[in-house]
Amino acid sequence: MKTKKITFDYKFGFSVKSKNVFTAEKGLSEEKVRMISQMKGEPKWMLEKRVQAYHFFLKEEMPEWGADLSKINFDDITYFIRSTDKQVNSWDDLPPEIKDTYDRIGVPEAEKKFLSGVSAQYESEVVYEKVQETLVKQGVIFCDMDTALKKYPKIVREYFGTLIPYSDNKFAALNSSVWSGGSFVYIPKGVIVKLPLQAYFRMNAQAFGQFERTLIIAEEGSSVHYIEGCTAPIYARDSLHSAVVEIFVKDGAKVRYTTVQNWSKNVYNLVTKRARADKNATMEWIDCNLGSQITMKYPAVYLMGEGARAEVLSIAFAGEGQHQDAGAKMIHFASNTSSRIISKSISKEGGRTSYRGLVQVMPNALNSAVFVSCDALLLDEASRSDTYPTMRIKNNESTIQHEATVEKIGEEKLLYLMSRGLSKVDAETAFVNGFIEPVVKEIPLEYSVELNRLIRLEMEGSIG
Amino acid sequence: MKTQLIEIKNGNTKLLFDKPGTYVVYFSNISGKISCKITSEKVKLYMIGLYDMNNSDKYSIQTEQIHTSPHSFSDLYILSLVRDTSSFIFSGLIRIEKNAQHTHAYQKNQNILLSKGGFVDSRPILEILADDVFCTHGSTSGPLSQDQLYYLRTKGLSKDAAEKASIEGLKSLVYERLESYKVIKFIKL
Amino acid sequence: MLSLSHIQVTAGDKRIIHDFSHQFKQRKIYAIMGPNGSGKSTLVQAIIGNPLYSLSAQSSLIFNEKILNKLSPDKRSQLGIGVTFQSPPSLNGISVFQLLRLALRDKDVVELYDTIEKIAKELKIKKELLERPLNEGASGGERKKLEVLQMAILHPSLIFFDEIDTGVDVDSLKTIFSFLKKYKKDKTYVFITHYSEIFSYLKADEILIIKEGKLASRGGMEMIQVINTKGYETF
Repeated sequence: MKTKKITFDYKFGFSVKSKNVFTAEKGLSEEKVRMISQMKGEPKWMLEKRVQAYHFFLKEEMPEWGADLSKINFDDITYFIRSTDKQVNSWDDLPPEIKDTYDRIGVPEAEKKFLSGVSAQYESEVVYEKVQETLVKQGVIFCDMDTALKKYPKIVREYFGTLIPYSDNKFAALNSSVWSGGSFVYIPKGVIVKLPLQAYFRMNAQAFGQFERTLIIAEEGSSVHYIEGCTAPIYARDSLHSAVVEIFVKDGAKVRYTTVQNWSKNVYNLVTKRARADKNATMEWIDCNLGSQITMKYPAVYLMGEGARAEVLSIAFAGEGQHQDAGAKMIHFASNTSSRIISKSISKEGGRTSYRGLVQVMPNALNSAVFVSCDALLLDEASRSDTYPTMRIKNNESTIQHEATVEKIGEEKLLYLMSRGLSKVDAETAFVNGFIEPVVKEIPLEYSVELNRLIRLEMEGSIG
Repeated sequence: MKTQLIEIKNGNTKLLFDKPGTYVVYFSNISGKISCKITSEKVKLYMIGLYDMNNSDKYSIQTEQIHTSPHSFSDLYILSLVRDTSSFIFSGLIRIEKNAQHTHAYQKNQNILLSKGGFVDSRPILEILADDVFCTHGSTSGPLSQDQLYYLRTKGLSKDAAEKASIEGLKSLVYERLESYKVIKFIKL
Repeated sequence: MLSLSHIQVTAGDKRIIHDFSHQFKQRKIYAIMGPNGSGKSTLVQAIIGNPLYSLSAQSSLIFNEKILNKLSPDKRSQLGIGVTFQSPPSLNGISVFQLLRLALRDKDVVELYDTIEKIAKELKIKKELLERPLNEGASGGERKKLEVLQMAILHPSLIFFDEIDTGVDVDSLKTIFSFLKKYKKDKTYVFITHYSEIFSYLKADEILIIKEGKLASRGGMEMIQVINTKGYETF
């Protein structure tokens, strides 16, 4: 990985004050929910919210659409792992394909251990400190959610759960009851944060938690780019990941949220992500789904203010045994708003990619413009691609355009590349990289270089 | 082989195309589900729907283009003209089964919203299980082309006349398609 | 150099080339001419290994003592057989830089870049076209020039030019051919063409006439006169 990441580090943030002995047993109960809150020393209102959410989760039905979630056994999952708990006990316990990938894409030793969860804490602290220095000077707050709740309870309370209430869906309810970790980002008025904030830079030891809760608030005229995830595969012992991300983009502000997800192939990745864009605000979701067994993720933007702009650029790659059910939601409430969804998906060896999108233009959202383009590439006979878009238009002064294409790599184009001496694998890889290029070019260089390398490995069939 | 025209009046129709040939399925202002299943090679299927709506007309139509055998072609075109408080709900499935290699399937839904109170719900769906295929769908919703209206008005047409002319133009594109498929004896509704 | 013996090429169940034999020698310039649909392009596609075309069991394709029949297109290219396509496709997201870098992994990137730029200048190819996805927004003539550029970088010893003169304006044709002359050295050129214009730039050592998938006639430059006055019908 890039030099930036090599020196990146991680500070051990809060310590868990546990009065009770809490063992990481499986299954969930109201008692456990209360214990989580107590261990974290949370205010009463948060505890109440968690309990309410838990009860909603219990009674809510599983969604009847989307990927096949029938194999999830809620009783067989651990809902809270302390930051000192390790994902695997030793390097040897890691699945071989993950170790192999780290080697092939050149992940340095220390980082391997960190990513794999073998080491609960990253050694060096220097860079992290430096980053924080710059941010603090600008008045920017960037810390983990647990800390935010302690240090900035008023702000958190004002926004938490207002865009995605626990009643939104079963998995938002689950997250709302057992959430732990995640990022809190607050950018004051007019502040432009030049350095992309990476989830990596956060404090707690667990690089990627199961039930992360992220809250980003960008005040008027501010701007920030937040990146989460990692192209290197992350081995997760726990198979259910259900995160919630709420983003508030105020007047004239701009937020870009980039996710590169490559969870190990045992993971169910069910995420609810939503942003609210006010007047002349810009919200961009860049979403890359490479790993996990099943992903259900539909980054959404509610365009509430006039002149708001939203974009979702997404890539989904599904190999054997994977189902990426992803897409976007754009709801236009105000006039002169525009949105764009570009989705690129690739399926091979029996993988399945589904695009699921909703575009809704409300009666008052006059002069809205929407453009959706979904392209899918099927690399072999066994694979599958679906497109399930919905357009609901309620005024006659807007233009909505949607197009989708499903095809395989043209024989003619393959032959052309091979006639230049590229092997079949090289030709297909070049083609796939070219196919996703419109999205990849928006991702920071260090990720995109790895992404391309990863695609090559996938194409060679040497992973999984 | 002559092209066969099938005009659908009953909203719930299942059609099976099990012999090679060119077929044209036409329907207008009906609700329901029209399912077309292609089980033979060398089938060319054109489906055309025209929804000309006024007042509080409400139509909900579901179509299916299902390909289970290789080397076939299907193309669906639906045009809706939504006036007053009418609403148009459309869901179109193109499903290409594993064995249906070398299928080309197309779908286009064009919705023209002519009034404030109109409503369109459009869901073009693709389920593709074969890889050596080409499949595309498109859905556009919006008012009449402002450029075109402006052009007509600069030629002396009033606002109403320009709109009428544009709408007639769109409808005639539908009829032209039908005629181009060499369907003889097609009567304009 | 390239020895074709009793070549029969079919596409699906349709036979396009019937029993074609010929020897292509090193350093020579050949022209393959004939009416539309005679199978000229098909012959080239079969030589470079297009999977859409099958060769009969008796067909013998030998290049510098290597049997080509079972080799994939990339292997044939690596042996030194190059082709400029009649209708070069546009490639999504892959620029000519990227393509050549992938084709020549071992070469130094900076050196490669410099060479590409230098040759682009000689061929009068706009710089933007090098950086954009291949052939995106390129005219017919520009596409053909980009094909020639690739040949100059890849250095095959035998190059098939499939209708390099079609869709190319007079000035571009001049640029392309003066470049090809300069750069020829020991290479073998085979031009597939309908028209005799190219011979004002280069003289062919041998001209082959293909009609209906068969070698109808062959000879030297005197064939041009015959074609121009009597057409392909006389063969």
